[in-house]
Amino acid sequence: MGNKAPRIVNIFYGEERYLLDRELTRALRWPERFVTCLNGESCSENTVISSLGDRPMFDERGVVVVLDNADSVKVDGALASYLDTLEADGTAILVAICRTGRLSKGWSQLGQKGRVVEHQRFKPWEREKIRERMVKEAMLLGLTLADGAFDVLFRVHGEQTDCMVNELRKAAFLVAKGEQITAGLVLSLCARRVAVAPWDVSEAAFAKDVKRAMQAVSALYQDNGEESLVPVVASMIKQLEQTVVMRSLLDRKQSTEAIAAALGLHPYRVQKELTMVQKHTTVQLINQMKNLCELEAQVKGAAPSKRTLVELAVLSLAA
Amino acid sequence: MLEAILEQPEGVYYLNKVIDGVFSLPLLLVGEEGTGRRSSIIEAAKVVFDVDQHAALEGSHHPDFRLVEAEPNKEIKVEAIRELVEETQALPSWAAWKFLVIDGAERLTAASANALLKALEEPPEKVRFFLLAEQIDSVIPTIRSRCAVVPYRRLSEEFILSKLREYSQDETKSLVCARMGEGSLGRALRCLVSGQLTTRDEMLGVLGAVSRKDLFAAFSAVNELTDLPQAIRFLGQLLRDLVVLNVASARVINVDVVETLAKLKTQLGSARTHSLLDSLRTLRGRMHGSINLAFHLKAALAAACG
Repeated sequence: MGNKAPRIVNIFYGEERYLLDRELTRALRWPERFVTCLNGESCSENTVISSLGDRPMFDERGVVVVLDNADSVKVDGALASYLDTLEADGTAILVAICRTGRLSKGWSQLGQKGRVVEHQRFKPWEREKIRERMVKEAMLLGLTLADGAFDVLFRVHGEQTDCMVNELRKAAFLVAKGEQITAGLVLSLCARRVAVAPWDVSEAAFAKDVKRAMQAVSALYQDNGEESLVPVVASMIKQLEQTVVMRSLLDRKQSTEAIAAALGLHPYRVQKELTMVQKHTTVQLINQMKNLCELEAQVKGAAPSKRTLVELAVLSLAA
Repeated sequence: MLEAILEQPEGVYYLNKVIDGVFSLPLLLVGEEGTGRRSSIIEAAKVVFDVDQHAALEGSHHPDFRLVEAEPNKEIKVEAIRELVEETQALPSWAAWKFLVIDGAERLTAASANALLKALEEPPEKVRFFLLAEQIDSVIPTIRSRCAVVPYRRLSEEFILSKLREYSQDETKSLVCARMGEGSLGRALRCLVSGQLTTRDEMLGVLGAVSRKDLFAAFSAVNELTDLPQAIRFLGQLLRDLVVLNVASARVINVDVVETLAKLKTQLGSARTHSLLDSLRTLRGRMHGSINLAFHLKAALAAACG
């Protein structure tokens, strides 16, 4: 919130949860002001107006209304009209945290009266931007980030910057101020086994990464036993269905854009998937459909050694 | 007596025995849906109940006629059976006997079946039990062994057609629906009045896509289907038509689309038709489980696309 004259309206929005949380914490600690915190999920536009109208009893310089989950509050002009009546002396300040990727029309219009800050998640291909962000986060903790350390973070957490920041915070306990976070340290801090989802099995199997696929099956089985096998088969079915369609469209010499349009997917995702699709032939995929039908009936039925059956199917896909 | 029950001689024979008081054993009426099992019991009840009680019987509020049935795709819960068994303790209110009917005996859970066993084995004097099932093998053996099994046959095409003519003037449509019913008046009627021919036409489209080896079109069409079991049934009938088209054209079910079928037969070829029929047979065998029907159907279509 700096030393500059504060704006009456401050809107922070996006899907990068930890940055929004940081803005929320900062706003709640606004110095020398009476801070009111509201949750948008349980208040209305009128509650916000009424809170902005409160005047502090003691010697604070004004009131700050912090509205979390502001996207849940429907604003239809009353708040905008009220803000117009306020003097720009900073007596009342509104800080709205919208936890959505896009601002609603009402909040966008309110944003024109003040400051709008976007905290969007990075896309998987924005690796350099993610690196810059992590270097900055390390600096905020009074540390520097070694080159290899970011590579490890990215390999483990992908574009999940909130997880990366958590690792940096953990590192800050072990490294003295001004020192460097090394790759080895990050590796020792990262959870030994990254959380595995059924989708990871199918993704690895279709990418023909046998080791990763088998490890994922094993991890899921350890966590949830035979119950984990049905979702694994379901995810393999879903992935196979999409792969078959992509393969058939590819065989018909359709472009990436045409395939994306046909499947209702983003061309980038299709392009990424096509690399994997090209590893399989149509005949192989059709045979796999037959195998998976049998596997599904077995896994949902009373077949013995269900884990072995699933592992065999994964191996057959990944081979 | 029981002249209203047509084409079910075994049913008439056993129900007459019940009416005459010769038979007090529970009856297990086994036959496909729409073959007149439930209406037969109502006819038998009409003979036992006084004429002034028939309106209450037909309005389903006769105190001595109780029906327990499973909701679609659900099992009959033990609470419903316990309530029914409790009812056997009380004497009939209006009539000489109580008629207790369980429609969907194959859908009794193990607990429900256990709750029923004792009452079935030694039914009170003033109670007559009737159980309805589509397949004898699906009924729990302990229930089966305590009942007299009465087979209900598929109804003849002429009979179904005569009934459908009461609802539609369109002779071809009536004939198609009668044949699609495959011996079930209920199915044929649903086909005629609830627009199920649209699903049949969608399946024709799917077969067209398979004949062109257009997997994307076939899969997309499957995604649009709302009643997959029905669609699979229609697909089976269409494939059967393709097989019999040239050898026994009088037995074709979908007589209104013969020209389209003839084209399809040429495009699809005998080997692919039979391969798809085989896959559908396997699929039908698995349909009782909670499998992903759409995927299984797509797998069958993909195999036929080759």
